Amino acid sequence: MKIVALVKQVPDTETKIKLTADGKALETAGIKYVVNPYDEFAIEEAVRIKEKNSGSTVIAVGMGPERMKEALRTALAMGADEGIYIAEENLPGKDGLITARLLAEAIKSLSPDLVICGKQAIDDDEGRVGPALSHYLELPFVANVTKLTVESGKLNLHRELEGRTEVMEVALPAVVSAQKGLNEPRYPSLINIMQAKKKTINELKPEQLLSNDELNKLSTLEETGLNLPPAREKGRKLQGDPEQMVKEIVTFLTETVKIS
Amino acid sequence: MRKIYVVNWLKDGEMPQVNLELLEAAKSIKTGLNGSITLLLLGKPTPEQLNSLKNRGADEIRYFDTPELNQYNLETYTQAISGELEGSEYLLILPGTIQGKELGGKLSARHTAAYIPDVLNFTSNNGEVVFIRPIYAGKARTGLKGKAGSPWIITIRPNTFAPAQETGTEAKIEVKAYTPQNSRIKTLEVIKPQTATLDVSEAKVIVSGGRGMKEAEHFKLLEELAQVINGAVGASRMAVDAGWRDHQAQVGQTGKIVTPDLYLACGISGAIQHLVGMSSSKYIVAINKDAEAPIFEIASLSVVGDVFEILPGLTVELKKIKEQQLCAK
Repeated sequence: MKIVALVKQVPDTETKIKLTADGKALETAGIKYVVNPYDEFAIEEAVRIKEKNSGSTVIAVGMGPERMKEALRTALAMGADEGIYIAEENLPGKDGLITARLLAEAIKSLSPDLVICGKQAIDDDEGRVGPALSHYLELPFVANVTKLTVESGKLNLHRELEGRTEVMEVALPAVVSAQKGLNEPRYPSLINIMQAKKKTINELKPEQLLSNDELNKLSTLEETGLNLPPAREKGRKLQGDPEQMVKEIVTFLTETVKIS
Repeated sequence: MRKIYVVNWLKDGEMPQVNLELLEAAKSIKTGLNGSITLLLLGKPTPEQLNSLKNRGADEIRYFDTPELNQYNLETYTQAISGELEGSEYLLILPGTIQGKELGGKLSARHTAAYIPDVLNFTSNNGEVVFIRPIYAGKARTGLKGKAGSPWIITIRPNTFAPAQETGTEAKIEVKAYTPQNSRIKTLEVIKPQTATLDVSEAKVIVSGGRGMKEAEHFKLLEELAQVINGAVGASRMAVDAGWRDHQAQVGQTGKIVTPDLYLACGISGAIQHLVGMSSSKYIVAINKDAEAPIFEIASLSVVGDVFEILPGLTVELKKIKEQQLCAK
């Protein structure tokens, strides 16, 4: 099988988000970047499928600024065979549609049997690239997968919905997005990391994939500003006798929160 | 002028509450867009369901009398919805659920539309609408505008807009037919939890536990309390990674973002990635032994104490009140 795993690099979950002095952009100084946690599940699953099906290959594909290549190296260290990097430059905007279309153009010629991405990137939290990419590749899509088995020509999978699990069957080739619970991503060993340095990352520029005219058509959004959410008002603090505190909590719940 | 389509479907034959929230959002955006509202219902509502919807602000309700659409399917739904969209200047509103976002992403590529998921709010000025959505799990917010001439697709996060109230005007009802296409995706079964547990993403009250709960067994205390106050049981990432709770219960940046009326955090110190998942709750009550726990910075009521000394008593007291209320009725 040929499996594509999509990779994005994002700020670590412990990052405190600040705005620049002019309030127009995020302050990026001091941010630690990691592989998007949901993409780790995607890479791990791709590698596990490869390990079970001899003759398979895993190609990690990602788009972003130069530092994005570190994330692709991590994917290679986890077991992907090669990488494709699309430089995020000379684009008419930051629209997710542009990303999805460029990724699709890069993936199309590979004719993969399966494309796995994370359910969303934890920076923009859109979850758009997977389903949009599936449209451009003309493939079926399933979001939020927590269990996956490959059978001849199809996937059997479980996907999580709000409070329920859907058991599904999808014809291959297909695009799916990974949710936490799908697997436990491995930590690459030092040897894996060394070996990954010898693997190839092919670099592509947007203009090699799409004309400027086509890119411009995909730019449909305009960002008008950023702000930080209003700070919460700090409440009362209770300390001391547990029994007395229980009474005060009950009063708070019944009189202020008005629970029924 | 921009036409508004509100799209929704029945869940196990029932009309989801979020439907009325989408209509409320549509109603408040409508003024700025000078458009009309069409509610597109995939699947066939019962006469009672239709009745309860026809005077909630939609100018027109279209539903499909096609059994194949009674169950959600990304491929057939994409086809059926696309067949109903007229022109290229419209606003399509979908629920901000997993299925709603899957559809939104797919439709946005198919129609080259501006896509803005998880809309919290909007501002409107002379036909220009700026939608506000959270990024970095709510650590920041961004304002986005769809370009003129392009379709716009948004999803609305559940519990963000109040349900639409009844109005005087009645919607025009239209019944549509859809010729089912073969779908490459099949739903074989839907597994629901054995006990009727409430999911944290839908609950108005959440009782959540973290490291301070010490072991899986102790979550019983939270379950008992949750039962008394009709809540769902949530967990921090640490509690999930330790195997104490299922990841479906995880609240935080790599779990669920929740906005209940009450979030009761027990033995949760408040790592940033947890705080962003629950800091938009209306009220937060936090119980923690450590007086310096970061969660106290955002709590409406901070309780410095041992969860094991407080929770059992709290459950007993709340149970008493509930019983008194029942007797009074």
